[in-house]
Amino acid sequence: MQVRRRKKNLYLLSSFPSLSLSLHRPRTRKKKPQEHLKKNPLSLPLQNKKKKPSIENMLKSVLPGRKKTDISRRRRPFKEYHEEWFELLKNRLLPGLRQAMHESSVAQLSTHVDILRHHLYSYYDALDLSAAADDVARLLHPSWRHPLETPFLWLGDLHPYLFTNLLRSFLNRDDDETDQNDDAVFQSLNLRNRFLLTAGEDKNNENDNVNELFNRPWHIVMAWRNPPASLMARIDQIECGVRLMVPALAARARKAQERFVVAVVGDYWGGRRRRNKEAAKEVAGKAVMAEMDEMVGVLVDANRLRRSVLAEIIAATSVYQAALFLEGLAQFLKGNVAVITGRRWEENGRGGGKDDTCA
Amino acid sequence: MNSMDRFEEDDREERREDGGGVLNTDDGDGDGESCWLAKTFHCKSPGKPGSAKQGFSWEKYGQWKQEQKQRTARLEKQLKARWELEELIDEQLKSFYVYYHRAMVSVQLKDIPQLLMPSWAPPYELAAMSWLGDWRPSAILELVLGLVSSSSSSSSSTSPSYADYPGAEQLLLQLKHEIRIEEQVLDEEMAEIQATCILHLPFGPMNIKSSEYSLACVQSVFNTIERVITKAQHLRFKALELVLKKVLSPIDAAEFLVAFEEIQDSIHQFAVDQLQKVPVTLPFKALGSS
Repeated sequence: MQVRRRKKNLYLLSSFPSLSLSLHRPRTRKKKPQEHLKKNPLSLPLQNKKKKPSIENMLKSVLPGRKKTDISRRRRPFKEYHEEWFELLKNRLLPGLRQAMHESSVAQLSTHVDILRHHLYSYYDALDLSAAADDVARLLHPSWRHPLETPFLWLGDLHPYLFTNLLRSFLNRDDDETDQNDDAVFQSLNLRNRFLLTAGEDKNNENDNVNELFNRPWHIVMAWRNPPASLMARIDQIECGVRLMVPALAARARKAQERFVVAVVGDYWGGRRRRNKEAAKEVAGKAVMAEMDEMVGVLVDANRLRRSVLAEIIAATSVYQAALFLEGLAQFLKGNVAVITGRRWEENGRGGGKDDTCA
Repeated sequence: MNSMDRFEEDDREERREDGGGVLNTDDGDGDGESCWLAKTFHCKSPGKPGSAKQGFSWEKYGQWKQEQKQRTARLEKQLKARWELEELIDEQLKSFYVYYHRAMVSVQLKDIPQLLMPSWAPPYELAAMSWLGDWRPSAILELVLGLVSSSSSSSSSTSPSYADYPGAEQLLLQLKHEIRIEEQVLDEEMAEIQATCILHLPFGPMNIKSSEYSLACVQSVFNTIERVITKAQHLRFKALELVLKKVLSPIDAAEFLVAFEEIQDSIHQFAVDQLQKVPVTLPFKALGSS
């Protein structure tokens, strides 16, 4: 188990090749991984981000500065990690990608696509790592997510079908509009871009943004027009693969629950009227822990599936298509129901945390 | 006199059993005493006292009559207890009905996450057994299957009333199978919502609408989630109702309800303990527990 965790630690860090993060204090962490996990279960190893000179400038633009005192801490709460991850996505990576879309360099856009992809991957790596540290129960029902987001979570994060549905939406939109004239395509795309760029900004800037939108390059605007048959076939394949995997994962999660119930129920009827409450709790606890061990595997495999779907989609599509796809995904992640439903709910709803009421 | 002694002995024994929590009707468990009593009862009960056997004296008849009255009184007491039990179970079922059929009309946006991830359930409890916010209906049937199979395998040592289920296990397995199919349908509906929310929620890439329209989008997505939750609640109630009304005798239904509560409680207690083990210094804990 320890070996596995160490490997995962390294995996997490090695999964940032483009960001070239390296492990600053590998020895101290490796010595007693178990101990740290117990101390601070819902936390992650803090990565020390060491920048390579070659892409230093790029990293400056996408990574927030980190103080030395932070680096000295080895683990931190997942909530904190999630917030930082989210801020980075919202404030640096998404605007960076949009900016790159306007620029002519394909290489630069491709780099931004890579960065965003790695950012998404890193979140799943972090989930894996935290799940291995006995926190799978909290990851399955994360309290750090906005409560209105939680109904849309499947095994801790977005449903893998969501990725393929988003992909399909680019194709379907194209189907819907092929019969219409190009003006209509322009109209809707501009409207959309206007929405994307003005979100959260002052109304006064709207005109500037509209002007900027007309400058969105033609190859971006047309990226999803008339996709080749080979791409369509590949998307079908990807979809088929996901549709095979998801029910299997759901069945594993269901069976883990079933085994838990059978264990607890069997014990109850086996020793009824003989046991005190403490003993019953102990038996329930053992059964819960056995179930959680299984759920770690399910969650890790769900994350693996998410990663692989993203990888397949990005590999199958062109840079421009992938950029639009990731832009859509990041925009969705950025979106916040509370913004629409009003701040009042956030104040009322989030204050009463999950943890105080049940103790 | 001898018979009276035996009678009293039997009475004491039965009361002991009553005290132990088992409501036992007098069905004779095969030992000598009850066989004797059953025989007496069998001889004397048909027809009217006067027209019975001629060999008894008045004294003996009076004694027997007294005995009969006492026995009938005890039977009546047991019957009353049984009616009371049935009433209690009905009440319980009614409360389940009310709980699982709460008027969902006035449900607000913020109630939906609360239904799926109730704040009173710690993460370990949710992860262990929650399905759309509560027990899986098939898990309820699993619990009953445990009751039935444990009683049929150990019927001699525990109460004999458990042995009264020819084919109950078969029926339960059938019910479990059917309910599991319905669970799967709901699972798929929920997965569909989770998979297509990116197309329907207003902050997806495809939607550029006014804020009123956005709010309406959110509301409509949450309404579909609410419908799934409502169906899940109804399925839960259906499982409970089937078990309590169609499968189990009142005594076993009572035992099932006690077990249901106790098992939930032990899981909850464990999950609460897990919460307390987490250091309070963690910011995410401080949110709720400070």
